[in-house]
Amino acid sequence: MTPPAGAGLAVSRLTFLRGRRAVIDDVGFNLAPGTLTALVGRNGAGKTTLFSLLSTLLCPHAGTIQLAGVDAVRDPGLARRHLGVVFQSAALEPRLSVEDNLRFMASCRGMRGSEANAALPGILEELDIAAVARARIDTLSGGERRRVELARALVGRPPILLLDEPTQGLDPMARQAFWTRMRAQVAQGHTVLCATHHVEEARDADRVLLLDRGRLRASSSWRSLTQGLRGVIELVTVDNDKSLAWLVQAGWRVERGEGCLRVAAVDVAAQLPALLCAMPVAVVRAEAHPPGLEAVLDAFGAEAEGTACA
Amino acid sequence: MRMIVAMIWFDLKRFGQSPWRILFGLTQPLLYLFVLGAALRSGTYAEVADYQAYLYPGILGLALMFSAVSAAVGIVHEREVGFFRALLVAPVPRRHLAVGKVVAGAVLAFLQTLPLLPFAPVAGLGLTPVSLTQLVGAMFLSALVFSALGLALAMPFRSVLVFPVVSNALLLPMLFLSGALYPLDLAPDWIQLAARFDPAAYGIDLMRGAVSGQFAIAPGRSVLLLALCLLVAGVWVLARLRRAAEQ
Repeated sequence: MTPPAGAGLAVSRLTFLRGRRAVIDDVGFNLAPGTLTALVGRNGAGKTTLFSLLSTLLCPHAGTIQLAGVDAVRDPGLARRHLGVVFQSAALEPRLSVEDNLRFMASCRGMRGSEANAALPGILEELDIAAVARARIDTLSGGERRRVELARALVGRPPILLLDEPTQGLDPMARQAFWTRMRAQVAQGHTVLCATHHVEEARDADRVLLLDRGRLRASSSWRSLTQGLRGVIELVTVDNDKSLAWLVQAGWRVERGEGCLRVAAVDVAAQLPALLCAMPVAVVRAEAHPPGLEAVLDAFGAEAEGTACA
Repeated sequence: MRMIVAMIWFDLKRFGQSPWRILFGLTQPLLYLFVLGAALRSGTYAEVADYQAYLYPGILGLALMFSAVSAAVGIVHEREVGFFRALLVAPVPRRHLAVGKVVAGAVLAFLQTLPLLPFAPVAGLGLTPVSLTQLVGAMFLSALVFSALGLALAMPFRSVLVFPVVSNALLLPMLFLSGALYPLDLAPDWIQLAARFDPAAYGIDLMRGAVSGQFAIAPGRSVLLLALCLLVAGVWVLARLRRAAEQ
């Protein structure tokens, strides 16, 4: 079962105040159906507040939110039918089984017992949690719990999924597995907005929204956001002093790291082979690191962590 | 309606995870009935004809009150484990959520109190089908009121450790002023005055009237005041649910 076509998310001039301070300030964007959008920003940038607004937990002071064509500010009850939410922390009843939790959510979505019987096995299979369907939530691993959270959000196949740092606390393998499954949901036509701190997730998204101090600083693909930004090539050579001297003379921006040299360059993946060929000293190890989330946030003037306001 | 039934079912399933609660929940009422009751029957309340029969409806009220407020802790637990947010973003109208929570709490309290009914003959009360029906009706109405009051009290709390301390501070005065343990007409005037504002007094009088046929308060008045109390507490719960997301 796939979500209905044309079920995107549109936000216009969204503003939310705490006291006199705008925590979300005149934010607007459109997410097309069947796309995956990453929301990035430092802690306190307003990501969770934006999620609370989009998930109808908060009411904005100004602006509009259209969820699958429904005005979520005027009719939040109707808008919730089009929405599945995965929160940053757990939102399941730990003393009951996976199946009990999902069945309850199916009832909340107005599904009859027979409809739930037909729909739930598919979701459990899809997310590879059928084997633990009867297990209590508090006996599951972290990765399994996150998948159950996603399953909860998928009950009733709402066309829009809001995921607030859904892979937080997972190891890289579990994170990768979760992300793969989410990608499959997008391929089925779900519109997904996912707040993340992981560069791999932002890189894999169709589009990235960059939030800073409640304002939307950028809305573009990861490739566009990182274009012209310097990454780092880490080099370990047999003679780092000689290599450093040569790199400086050759005009590279280079600094010493711990037992290595860190060469700053644009498009590091393309530059690395040429650099290795030109090096006059034997290279023991070389790693290319494209620009990360921090570099992007810095480039767009995002406020440094610890000085953020929200 | 399906959503309300689902909420009741969900709370029952959750309750079923700790069935020992039913057994331990009976300890306190039975101690009141058979230990305190036996002690006072031959002492302070020797003048009250068959004190344990008098005490019995009060003990049902006590069990309902404490079980309903204990069920209300569920909503604090839901906040603590994050499950409450999943409820708030589900497409369940807030009024259904309020009704579901109140009825679920009442059903849990009612079911936990039912095992006390077989003790009625031991306390010296003979129940007929008519008196039993009236008693069960009075018990369920009282359970609804106590559940709504418990939820109204529980809504602002985020910790299951703090809430019971506060709820006991409300429950014990409600119990002592209700006439559950002693006839109110033997109490000082100020207690009789305070009892007029105690919903438990009306619920327990309804139950006592059902089993003895003697009402201290006109039953119609008790039903009306309990219904009013249920409405006010229910509206309060609904208002808190509507604001809950923003807190």
